[in-house]
Amino acid sequence: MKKITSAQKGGGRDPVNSPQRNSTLPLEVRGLSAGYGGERSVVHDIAFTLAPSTMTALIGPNGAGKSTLLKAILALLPECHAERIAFFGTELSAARARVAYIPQRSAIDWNFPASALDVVAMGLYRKLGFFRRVGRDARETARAALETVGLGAVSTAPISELSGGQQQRVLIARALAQDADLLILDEPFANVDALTEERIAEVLRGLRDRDRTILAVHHDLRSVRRHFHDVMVLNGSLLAKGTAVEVMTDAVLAEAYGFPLERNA
Amino acid sequence: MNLGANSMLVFAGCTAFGALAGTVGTFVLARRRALVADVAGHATLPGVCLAFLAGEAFGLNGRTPWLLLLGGASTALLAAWSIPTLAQLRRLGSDGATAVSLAFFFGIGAVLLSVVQLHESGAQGGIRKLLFGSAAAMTSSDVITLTTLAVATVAVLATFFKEFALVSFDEPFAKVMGVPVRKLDLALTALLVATVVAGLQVAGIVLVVALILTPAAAARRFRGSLTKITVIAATIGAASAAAGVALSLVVDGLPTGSAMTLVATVFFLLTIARRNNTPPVQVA
Repeated sequence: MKKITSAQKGGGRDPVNSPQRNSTLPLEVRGLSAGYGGERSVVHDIAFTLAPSTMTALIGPNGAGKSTLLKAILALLPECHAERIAFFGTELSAARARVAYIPQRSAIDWNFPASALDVVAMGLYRKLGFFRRVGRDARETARAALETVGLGAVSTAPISELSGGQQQRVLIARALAQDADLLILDEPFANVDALTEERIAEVLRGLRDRDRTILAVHHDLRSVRRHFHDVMVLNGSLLAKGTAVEVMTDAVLAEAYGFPLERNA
Repeated sequence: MNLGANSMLVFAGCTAFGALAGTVGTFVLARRRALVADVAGHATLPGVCLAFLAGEAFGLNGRTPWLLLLGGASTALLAAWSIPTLAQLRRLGSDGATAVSLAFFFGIGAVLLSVVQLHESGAQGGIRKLLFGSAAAMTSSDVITLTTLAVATVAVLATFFKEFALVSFDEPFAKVMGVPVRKLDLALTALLVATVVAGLQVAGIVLVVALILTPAAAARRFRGSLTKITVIAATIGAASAAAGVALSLVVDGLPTGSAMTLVATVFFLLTIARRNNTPPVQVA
C-alpha cells in the first residue's frame, strides 16, 4: 500500500496544479458492506481506489446498489461497515472541503426559493463558516463557476424555472465554486438531452484535466466509453474495474446485466 | 370601534405573533415540515388537558396558564419527535408516521378533554381559552413574551440562515459538507413548538397552525430568494393578525383567531388570483 506522506487538510491550496493535489489517493475503499437495515446488505465486500485526475463511471443494472454505494462512502447511510474509507488519506470529516457530492436531482427541492447564483454560492458555505453572509467575493466566485458551465446568462433565474439539464449544470457549478478535488455524482446525465449531456461531459473532462477526480453513476452503456476512461461494474459486489476498453466486454456485461452490449448501438 | 389601551395591547401582541408565525412558517415549509406543524398544533391538546388534571389533582389551580402551556409544549415536542422516529420503521414512511402520530395525540387529547369536562365549568375556563384562543384577554406581559419570542426566533433563524437554507434545499449535500443537520432540525422543531404554544392563546389549538402555514404558503407564490419570501410571509402574517383583530372588534361575536385565519386565507387566495406572468428562461 502507498505510504501517505502528507495528510493535508482542505483550504489554503489555491493554485490549481499544486503538487499537493496529487500526493494521495483521492478515494480508497476496502471491505465495505452497506444497506438499509434489512436482512441483506445491498452492496458487499467492496474494495477499490480512485487514482488522482481520473474520471470513473460506476455502472450496473437497476438495483445494483450504485447510489447506495455512493451514499455509504459518504456516510449518508445508517447501515455501513467498512474496513477503510479514506479521502485523500484521511477521514471524510477531515476532508470535507475537498469532496463535493452531487445527489440525484430527485433528492433536491427544486421549488426552493433560490436563484441559480444562490445555489452555486452554497458550495462556498463551508469556506465562509457559520455567521458569515455571502459577500461580493463569494458572489463573484459563484458567477465565474456559472460562466464555466455556460449558465452565466441565467444566474438570477429562480432554480424552479430552469430545465433539468440546466439544474444539473447548476449543481456542477456548485462543486466548481467549492473547488473540490473529488467530485462524486449520482447520475449527472439522467434525463438530459444529448446536447446537454455533451456539455456536462465536457465540463467534467475539463475538471479532470485540471487534476480533479471524478466518480459518477452512469446508466447509459452506449455512452460510457465516450465519456469515461475508467469504469467500475457493480451488481451487489464489484464485478470489474479497469479502463472502459478492458471492462466493457461481453463477458463482464453479461454477468452484470444478463445480456451483452450491442456493438453497433 | 373603541381603541382603548386594551385593544392596543391586543393589536401589538397579535401583530408580533403574526410576524413570528409567518417567519417560522416559511422555514418549516422550506424544510417540508408543514405536516409536523399540524401534528404539533393538535398534539398540544393532550398536554394541556393533562396539565389541567394534574393541577387539579395536586391542588394547584388547574387554570394556571404557564402550567397548561408547559403541558401543551411537552406533548407537542413528543409528537414532533415521534414522527421521524416512527418514519424510520421499515415500509412506513413519513406520511404514514405523521398520520399515526396526529391521530394518536389528538385522539388522546379528545379523551382527556371529555374527562376535563367532568370538572366544574368555572375551572374549565382556562382550557376553553386555549382551545379557541382568547386574544381579547391579552395582558401586557403576554405582549412582552410574544415580542421577545419573535425577536429571539428571528435572531436564531438569521444567524443560521445559510445553513437552514442549505439543509432545506439539498440535505445530502449539506451532510457531506458537515452541516449539523440534526441539530438544525431540532432547533427548528423547538422554534416551531414555541410558536405553536405562544399562539394557543392568540388563535387556539386548531387555528394556530393555519396562522403559521397560510402566510408562508401565500409568500411561496412569489418569486425570489428565501430572504424575500420570509419578509413577505412575516408581513402577510402581521397584516392578517392586525386585520383580524380589527375585524373582530367591528363584527360582534367574531373570535379574533378565526378572523385572523380568514384574512390570511384571503391573502393566499389573492396570490392564486394574481396572474403569474413570469418570463420563460431563454438560454439553452
